[in-house]
Amino acid sequence: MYAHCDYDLIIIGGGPAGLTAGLYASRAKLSTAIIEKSTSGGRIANAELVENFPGFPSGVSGSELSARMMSQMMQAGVEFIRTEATGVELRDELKCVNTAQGDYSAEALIIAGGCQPKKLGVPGEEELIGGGISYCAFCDGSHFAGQPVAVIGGGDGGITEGLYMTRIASRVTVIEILPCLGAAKILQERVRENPKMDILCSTKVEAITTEGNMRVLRLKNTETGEKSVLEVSGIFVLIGLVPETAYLKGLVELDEDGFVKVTTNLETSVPGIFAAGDIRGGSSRQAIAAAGDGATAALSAEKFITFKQRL
Amino acid sequence: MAIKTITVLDPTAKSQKVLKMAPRPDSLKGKVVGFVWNNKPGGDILLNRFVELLNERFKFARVVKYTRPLASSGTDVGTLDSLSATCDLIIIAVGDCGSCTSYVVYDAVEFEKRGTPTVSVISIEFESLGKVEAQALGMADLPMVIVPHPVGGIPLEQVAKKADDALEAMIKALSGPVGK
Repeated sequence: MYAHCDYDLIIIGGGPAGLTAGLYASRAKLSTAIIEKSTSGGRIANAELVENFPGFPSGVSGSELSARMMSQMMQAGVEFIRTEATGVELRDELKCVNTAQGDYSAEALIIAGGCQPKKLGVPGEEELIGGGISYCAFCDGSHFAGQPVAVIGGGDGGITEGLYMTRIASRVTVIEILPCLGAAKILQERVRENPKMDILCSTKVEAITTEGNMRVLRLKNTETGEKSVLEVSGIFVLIGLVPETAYLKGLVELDEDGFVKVTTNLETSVPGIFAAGDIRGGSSRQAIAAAGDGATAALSAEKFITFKQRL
Repeated sequence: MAIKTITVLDPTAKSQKVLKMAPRPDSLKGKVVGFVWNNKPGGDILLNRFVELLNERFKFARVVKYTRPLASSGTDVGTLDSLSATCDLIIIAVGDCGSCTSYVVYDAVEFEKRGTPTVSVISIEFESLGKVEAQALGMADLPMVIVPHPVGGIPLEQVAKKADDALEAMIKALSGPVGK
């Protein structure tokens, strides 16, 4: 039984969605806390350059964008709690978030915990994580200075990080399972102009092994069935995202891929619990869209709390 | 006559939590100094060079080196406790990406909370993020030494030179008035 409610609103996740939600909630005079387990600003903090966030004509580094959003959120008076949310319970009409530092309760909750990089799921991957396989070129790229690397995934993430690696590595090979790259056209133009980048489309990674200091990618052409190998020093896997929703199972409705199902005002299947950003079903997984989601979810949470307090 | 209640809202933002940092020593001579490397390339070179230069000048009683298994996670509680109990001062390197900067600052705050003064080494590209992170964790004045970016992926002598150039800033941060 909770003697009191700690906050009007708790937000799980301190990326663009959570930070924007915090800003809006604080301006609505809701006592608000953000619980973030890892990087302030979320995954965008690791982006070398963000070129598609309005207001920055020359682009902005992910760390600078994150710092600005964090700073604005703190000026608004949002409390920042650095710990991991391990569960959510409904008690006495309150939403209670379990963490390693104890439980926190609120009238309403916004889930904005984002996603983790998706793994390839092929033999050899798990054993080499941190020892040749990484999911963030900007974080780990310098391990492979002057050496050949492969980037798995030809979407925006893969191409952006692949282009970054061409400044560090001797050669960058992008491997895409689909017949063509999925990255934005402007990024594809940069690939064509970059002499250090090779592209292998219609190519599937079947396994990863080690030979000496090299990692060996065992590849299969999905159109011809032809098999080949590629030796590189480092491998960056950027094939998509999986939502961090394991602790929400049984609480809110999730879609078949584990993303949180929401209504148009971003409310989940539980009244008073909202979801915003990459973690919700149907998200475009863009920082600017996540920020928009944060605003929408906070406004919806405010309405929910105001209505509840009037009852 | 009906009594009407008016709710008056306080328009000021809620003040952020402020945690006290550990006091700095009056002198660095004869101290036990911990060097925590977060496994980021170049961070070990920076730390080794700082060890060499600082030890030469201050004759430390002992140097304790610890390598974190991953840059993208914090030091475990047991190690935080043990290093804090062993060391008079701790230097942590290096914050040169978003995740690793967050965890360098997080570790530093945890050591400071345990009473051990720290200095975090952050590359200039991540200075803003490091500072805002420290503020969010309640230690806005957390001492940091800022070095030019990048730290990894460049010749070793260039990394070591960054430590040479940042030595005076490091000494000032280790023994400054913060926390006294």
